[in-house]
Amino acid sequence: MELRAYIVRRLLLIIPVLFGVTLLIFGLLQLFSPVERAALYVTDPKQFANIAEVIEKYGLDQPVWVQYGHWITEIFQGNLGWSKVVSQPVTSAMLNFLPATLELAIFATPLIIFGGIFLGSKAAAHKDKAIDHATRLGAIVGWSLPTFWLGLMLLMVFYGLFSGLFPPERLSTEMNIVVHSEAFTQYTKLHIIDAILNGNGRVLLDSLRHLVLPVITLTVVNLAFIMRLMRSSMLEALGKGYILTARAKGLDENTVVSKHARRNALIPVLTVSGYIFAGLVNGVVITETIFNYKGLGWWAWQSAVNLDISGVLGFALFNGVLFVFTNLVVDLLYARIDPRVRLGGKVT
Amino acid sequence: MKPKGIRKVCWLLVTTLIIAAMMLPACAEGEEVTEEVAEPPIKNPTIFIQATIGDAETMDPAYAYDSASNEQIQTIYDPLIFYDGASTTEFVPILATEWTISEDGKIYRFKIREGVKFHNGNDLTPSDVEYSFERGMVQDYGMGPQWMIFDPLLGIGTSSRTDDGLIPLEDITNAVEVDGQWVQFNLAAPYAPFLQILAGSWGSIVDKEWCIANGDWDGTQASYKALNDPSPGGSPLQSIANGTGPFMLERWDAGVEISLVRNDNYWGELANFERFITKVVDEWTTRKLMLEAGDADWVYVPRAYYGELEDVEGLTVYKDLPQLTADAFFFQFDISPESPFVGSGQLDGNGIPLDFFTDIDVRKGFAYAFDWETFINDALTGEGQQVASPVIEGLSYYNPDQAMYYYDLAKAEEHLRAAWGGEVWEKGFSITIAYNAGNERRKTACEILQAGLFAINPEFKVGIQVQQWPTMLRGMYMQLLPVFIIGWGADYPDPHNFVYPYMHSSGDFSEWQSYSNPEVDALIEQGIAVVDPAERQAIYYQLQELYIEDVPSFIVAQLVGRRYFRDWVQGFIFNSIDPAEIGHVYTLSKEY
Amino acid sequence: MTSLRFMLYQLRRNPLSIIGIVIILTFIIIAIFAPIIAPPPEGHIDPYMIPRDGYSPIPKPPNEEHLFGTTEGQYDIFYGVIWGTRSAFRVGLIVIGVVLVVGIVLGSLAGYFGGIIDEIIMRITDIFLAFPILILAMAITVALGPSPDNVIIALIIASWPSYARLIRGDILAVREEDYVEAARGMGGSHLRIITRHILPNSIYPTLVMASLDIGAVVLYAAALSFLGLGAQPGYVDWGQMISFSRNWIVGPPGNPLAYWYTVTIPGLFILLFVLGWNLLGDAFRDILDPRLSRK
Repeated sequence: MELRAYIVRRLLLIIPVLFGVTLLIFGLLQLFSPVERAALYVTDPKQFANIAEVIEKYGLDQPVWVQYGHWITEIFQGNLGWSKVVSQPVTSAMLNFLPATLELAIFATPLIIFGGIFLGSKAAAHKDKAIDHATRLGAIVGWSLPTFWLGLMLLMVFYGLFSGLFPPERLSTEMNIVVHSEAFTQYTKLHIIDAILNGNGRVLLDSLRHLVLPVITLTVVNLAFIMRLMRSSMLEALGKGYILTARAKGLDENTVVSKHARRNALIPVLTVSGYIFAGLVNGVVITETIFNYKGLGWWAWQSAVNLDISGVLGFALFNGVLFVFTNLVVDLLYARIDPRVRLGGKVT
Repeated sequence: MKPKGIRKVCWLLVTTLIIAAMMLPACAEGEEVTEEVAEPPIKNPTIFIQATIGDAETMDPAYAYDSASNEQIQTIYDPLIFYDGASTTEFVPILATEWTISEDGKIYRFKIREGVKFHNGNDLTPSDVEYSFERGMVQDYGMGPQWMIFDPLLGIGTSSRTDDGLIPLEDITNAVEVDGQWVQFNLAAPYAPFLQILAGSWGSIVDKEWCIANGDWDGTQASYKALNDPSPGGSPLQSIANGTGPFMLERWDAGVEISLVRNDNYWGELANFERFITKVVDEWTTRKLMLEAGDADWVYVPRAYYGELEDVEGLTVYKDLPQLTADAFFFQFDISPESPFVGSGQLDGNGIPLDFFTDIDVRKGFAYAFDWETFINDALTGEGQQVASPVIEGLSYYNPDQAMYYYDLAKAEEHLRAAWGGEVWEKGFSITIAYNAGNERRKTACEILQAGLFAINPEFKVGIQVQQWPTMLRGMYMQLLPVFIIGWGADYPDPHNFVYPYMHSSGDFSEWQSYSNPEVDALIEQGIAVVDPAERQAIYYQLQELYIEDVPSFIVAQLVGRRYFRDWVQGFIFNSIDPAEIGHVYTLSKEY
Repeated sequence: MTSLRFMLYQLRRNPLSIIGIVIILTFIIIAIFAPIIAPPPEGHIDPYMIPRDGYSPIPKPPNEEHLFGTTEGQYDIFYGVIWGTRSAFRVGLIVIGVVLVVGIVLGSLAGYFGGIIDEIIMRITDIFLAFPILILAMAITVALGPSPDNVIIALIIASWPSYARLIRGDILAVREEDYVEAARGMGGSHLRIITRHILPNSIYPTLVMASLDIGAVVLYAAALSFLGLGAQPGYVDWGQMISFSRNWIVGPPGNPLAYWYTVTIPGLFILLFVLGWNLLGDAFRDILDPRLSRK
């Protein structure tokens, strides 16, 4: 009962947050004058002749609250607007671009989390030894790398130098035709899963090959975050009394590290999973842009650069919902791992 | 969470990726061994793949007004007539087998081809043709191309919307009539470039029955009202297509790619490719590598990077293709008092008065201070040419011998000394000019003008302001910008399409500038209404001369472009008005 | 608190942090002496705009006149990276400085007083945290118009909530400690209790995060410039210099590394700058985190 009440309360909190998100974005939009907002519809000056008509048609010169009212009503009717950059409604754009990003996340997330945990605890267990310095330096350099620079460098080497080894985009032209042919059923639009379900090995390999570089780019940059956190919380755990006891009992170091210390050290890592999510979204924007891997991140970038406000808002709303849910799940997990934490005690 | 498990998952992922990586190059090599010719085997021989920037906005021919959409639409749909090869004035019959123009130039009649089928199997009839144009005018998307149909049929400057509401439906339906196998257009006044307009993608013929079935205009007043001026994406034909053209729309992953398949029931000779795929690839490096790898047959090459492809093997390049577009510096004759770009607003050395550019010596001084040679050789790497007026090369009645301004600081000084009774020279001025964000070429032009003026007199201070696109448009519209640089691209290849926006008092740019010269207006109105080529030539030559005399703006350069194809692509025909950089895909083939 | 000797001892034990300090010191020197290292050419009006040598779009390799070569549009790379150090410090220090102040004020209010104030402030941070920093900063820069100052404003707006939250959490942890109770019992004003007793005992994690974030902020600013939302072309900015090189990553066939200098040099400057702050932040963490010290 307590759990259910807690979840309900957390879900209710989404409403004011999303309301705030809409206010924030709408506020940003008001930084443009009516003429400028009308100009957002225009790609060529020759279309500008009818600008007065556009202002009137979309009520761009009405008071702010009237405009907000119109707009929020539309949203409640499920109409998030028209995404100019991809010529489709925002809702369908989100559905169309989600699978690509999911596919990236499915591969990158475990690599980041497990790789980070593994390297972090290794470094902590050998503090101030060569392996500690090497992993730390590696991770810090990775963390300091501009994502866009790394991505371009990888592309240069693995697509340019070794011509065509790991190409950009999601699929080769040939496989793209296979995927969209009638013989191939797109159950999930996640090419990898679809390929397995269809038993098509070539599509599977092709999409894996296209995933390599974006996944590496995303991983290198985000891995360091977990690794460093894991290292410091592991160091803290290793200093605790029960570890000393375990050592004193003569348990071998491996058991001490993996059985006792690591479990406790994992808790802070888990609590920041929300940040990993944010890091992934940031990374996805740049990674997808560079590798021409058309997913949500690419779409968000296009929307922002082209001042496609409906697109930016849709993406932000989507993110907001996802973020709040991720945090909820994390908190629930947190409570499970660490019995000392009581639900409802702290709302973050 | 057991650590062993974690490690296992990690290794599993890593190994999968490595194995995948290792197996694929092996496959690729296997394919290559089969052919042992000097030339590399043609990749995807039955598909034409292009990688470009910017996706189509719509598949609706009446609504589309961007070249990416126009390109797809003209491949899926057929017009009545189309340009003959590279010509912009000669036409070949497409869905019309023959046509006549009345002596007074006001009645155009087209005989419609028989035995043509739409992609869905419906027959093409003359009433489809009538419907296509009427439907376009009924829809009349405010920011769409329909003004080009309204101008000749209902009079220059008309639209379906007036201050008193929509114009009567009869006005629209009376403009186009069916007469047996013929379709007749009744023009409001003679309109010389009407055939050119019909050859554009807005002249595409749609299937009436199919349109109505999909919720488009059904001939009634109610549906006219409901469908007029749709919101973006609001046309029933937004993302579906059913034409008579050589290719059919197979799939449109908006923002990603468009796939067209060959129409095997095409009335003419079948296209050479089974598929025509357009990929949207924003990153130049990616596009370049796709071209080098042969994964794309043509990619969009920004002109700054022509040099990078100079020594690449396996490419065919077409050079020196004049583009029907011209950037110009525009002077604001009546600057708004709200403008933040005029300094003190007075001729005291720290600003300019609001009517600064009404003095012709100021305008001439500015024009002589622009270093065309540096701009064209450096900023355009030689891929451009100086032209005198908006009647640029490639348009009929272009006068190659028209005198023009040139970089001459002495002459610039002479004019600026004379300007405003010598006050300009004495006190100097301070002004800010603007260009739109992301356009490096225009920024450079601003810097060159800045440097030129500074070299004449250090008291001539020019600031440069980058503005986002909507802000810049607002600045032009509200007359905030004393000088701005922007360009016009052709809708149809006739000088009228250029002199009007650049020179007519209600032209797109000149109206913003508050430029008005009754003599020019009269000539422009006369030029479009006469039919005789000799008469038109005299008028447009005179307009070119007047443009130089009056300097309401001055052209920075006409761009010349290049096209880079894989060398296995044959059959490219350059037509300067074609919305597609590859020309018409129908004429292309892949072979050595 | 840690003694100076202990700090020095820790630093000596950790060669990585020494590297970090050296890197940051070098950058400070470069920033201060930029006008001497790369003097602006005569008649050049704004030293924060990179001087151009012609307008050709093709980069030119290092030569006598241009030590590191020129980018597309003939912007001098040497001048750009040297003066770019100033912009990097400017972005990093201003953003982190303002964010720290805002974070401390709002975080203390929320953490110390709790109740409705806490609830309101935290819900507001929720709204901002629903956006990843880069996305929110992108939206704000777009709305404000691209310029170096607006990038700073955008990054401040996008990154204050996590600081407010962090400080609030740390204050909650010490709020009920005995010495705070004691101060309260002695009738100290709220301001005094917060500044004298609570903050000094709860601010270290925030300071560590701040030192690490200076690098991150510079990366965000660079990413914005790279995405075309930063400074106007020609402004001394590393991210923008990489975006200039973006299209010159792969040289002509047979010489794929022909334009290495346009890509590598600004990239290395960003990398080293961020690396320096990260190493320094790490060292701070080891030294200042009382839970780890003198283990």
